[in-house]
Amino acid sequence: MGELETRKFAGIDLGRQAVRFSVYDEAAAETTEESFLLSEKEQEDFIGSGLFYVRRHLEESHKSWDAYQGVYFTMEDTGKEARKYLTEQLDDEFKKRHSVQIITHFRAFVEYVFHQERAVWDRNTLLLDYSGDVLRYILVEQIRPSRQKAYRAVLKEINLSEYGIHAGDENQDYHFSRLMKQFLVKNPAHIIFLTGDGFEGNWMKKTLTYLCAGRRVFLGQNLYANGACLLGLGPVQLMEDGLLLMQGPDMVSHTIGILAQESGKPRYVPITSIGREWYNTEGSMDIILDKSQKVEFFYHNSQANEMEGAVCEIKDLPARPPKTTRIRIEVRFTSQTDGVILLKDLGFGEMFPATGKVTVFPFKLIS
Amino acid sequence: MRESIVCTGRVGKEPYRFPETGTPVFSYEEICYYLSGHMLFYLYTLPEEELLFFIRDELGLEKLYRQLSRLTDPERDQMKYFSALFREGNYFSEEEIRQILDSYRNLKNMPYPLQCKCLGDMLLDAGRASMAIHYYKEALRPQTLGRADTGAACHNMAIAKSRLFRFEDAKIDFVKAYQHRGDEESLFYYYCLTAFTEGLERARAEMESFKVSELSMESFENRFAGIADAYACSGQAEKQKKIVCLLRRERPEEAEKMYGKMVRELQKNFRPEMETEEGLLRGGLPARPNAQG
Repeated sequence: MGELETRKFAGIDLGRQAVRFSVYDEAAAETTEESFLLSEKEQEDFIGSGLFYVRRHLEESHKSWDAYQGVYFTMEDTGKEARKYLTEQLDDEFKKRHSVQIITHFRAFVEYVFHQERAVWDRNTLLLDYSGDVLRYILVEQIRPSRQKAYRAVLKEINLSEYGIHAGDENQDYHFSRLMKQFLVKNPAHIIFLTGDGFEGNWMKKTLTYLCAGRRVFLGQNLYANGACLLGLGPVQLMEDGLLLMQGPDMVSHTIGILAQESGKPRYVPITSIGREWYNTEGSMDIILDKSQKVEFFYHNSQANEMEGAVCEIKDLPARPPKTTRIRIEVRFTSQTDGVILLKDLGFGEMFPATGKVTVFPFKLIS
Repeated sequence: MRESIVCTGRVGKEPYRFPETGTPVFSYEEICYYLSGHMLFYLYTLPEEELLFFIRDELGLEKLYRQLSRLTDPERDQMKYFSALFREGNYFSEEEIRQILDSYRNLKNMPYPLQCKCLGDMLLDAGRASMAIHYYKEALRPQTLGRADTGAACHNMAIAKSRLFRFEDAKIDFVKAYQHRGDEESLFYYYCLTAFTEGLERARAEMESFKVSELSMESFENRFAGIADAYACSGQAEKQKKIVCLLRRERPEEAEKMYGKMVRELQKNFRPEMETEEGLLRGGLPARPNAQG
């Protein structure tokens, strides 16, 4: 009897010092982790070198990209050039099977947290990423403890040298533990994840004692890769519902939508959702034009809870009776605050044929 | 603030064709739009089951499918079926749904001959001449329609017969329409048919027997000339001219080939009508409950 096919998703964290490769097996509900350190020379092209190690690992284990239902990349720097370079480095064999999906470390961690059991994310959760002299932290907290809870994830960084913390210093543990005491008073957390090469070595004594007091603490280097591979399980519902606000670089904090009638009452219907990088944010929706050829869009700032409106007029459509023009709206972002809305005339079946005319409506999110 | 109508369900890859008119629909909104204008077809029946399968499979509206499936029982009020269908999405406002259902109720309360006449008009608009003729006959059978409606039914039935090349029957109906309604439009159609089949001289002579005024006669001739000019510029006339030209140049084989092709095209367009006619002769019109006579 042949082996039962199960879905597997791969997450690849292309770090500057090491590439982490995680695979989530849906049937077993477990993640396997691999890690490959890069030499100094390889670090100059950490994307190319990282991919080389992953390919070699696949060859050694007699696997190909086909073995995975989805492959997701995460990087510290997901700028345009880095994304373009990674896309170029991927071979046709990969592109035939998968689309190139890249997320930030910030998103990868939040995906990781929200794909765990409720206890992990329902109370404040903290990630500390210690690399070089910088401590990056991601705090996931509940911001609306009402019946329909909402959450916020914030990414910030602390320059450790300002606090006299230097790697290898004999007082590193003392200063770090003091910093943590102050930090956790301001930002209480019940679960703490530690990652980054700064936590390696055996220097944490007081720090660990303090961190572990009444909290659950986990140390792991594959956290981002693990979060990336969990993307394959589908979107986090809280994110889809706009109940998870992500405050960090590249993250979209506005939803773009329209007002629709529902049971005689106006209701805001978002076309895009928040909680994703702008280059991973898009949405589409079909609407019917009533008497006028105008569509009013609303930009909802989830951070400030403010709404802004803009009217788009669709010109040069053939004369048709009211409610016989179907318009496909597609929203795409070109940066965190800019983008375009495309409105395509789909007509109304064979009764009123489509012209295929596309109206381009640029937008800029100010608030 | 401006509100938009958000579409419900998917756009189907394959359309559903309403059997009465052959109109294809691809989406929930198109179904609503079509049905709101064609409720007359569903006074005694409901849309066929295939529409429900289309709603489930092509549009992905499983919930609506299950809801409508429960309402197809002939014992139940048909109004509930349409009410559930229109209320599934936001295509119509509550006010519009109420208006549609009110007019549906009014149609149901209309005398049966008038319902048949309206159905005939709708079918004629949709290019279903054979079916339209049968509904007009049904409308005229009890002789209870008023003079104006009888005239209109005769006139439209004559148009339907003309479309089926039944010119002699059509002429008789145009005359009947004129007798009932006294509308010169029916006479003009009669004039056109006569001119087309027997020549302009004969048509003029016929009009004289109806004592048509000189002014009306001139108007008829001008309008007919306009129609003839428009036809002369059509693709069909071009084909005819080519055939004549080929025959003049003594190329009968090519002319015959072209003629054969033209006839086949006409037959292809005409076939659905012939099939409807055959179907009607076999089965008659869809039955209505408690039909009398």
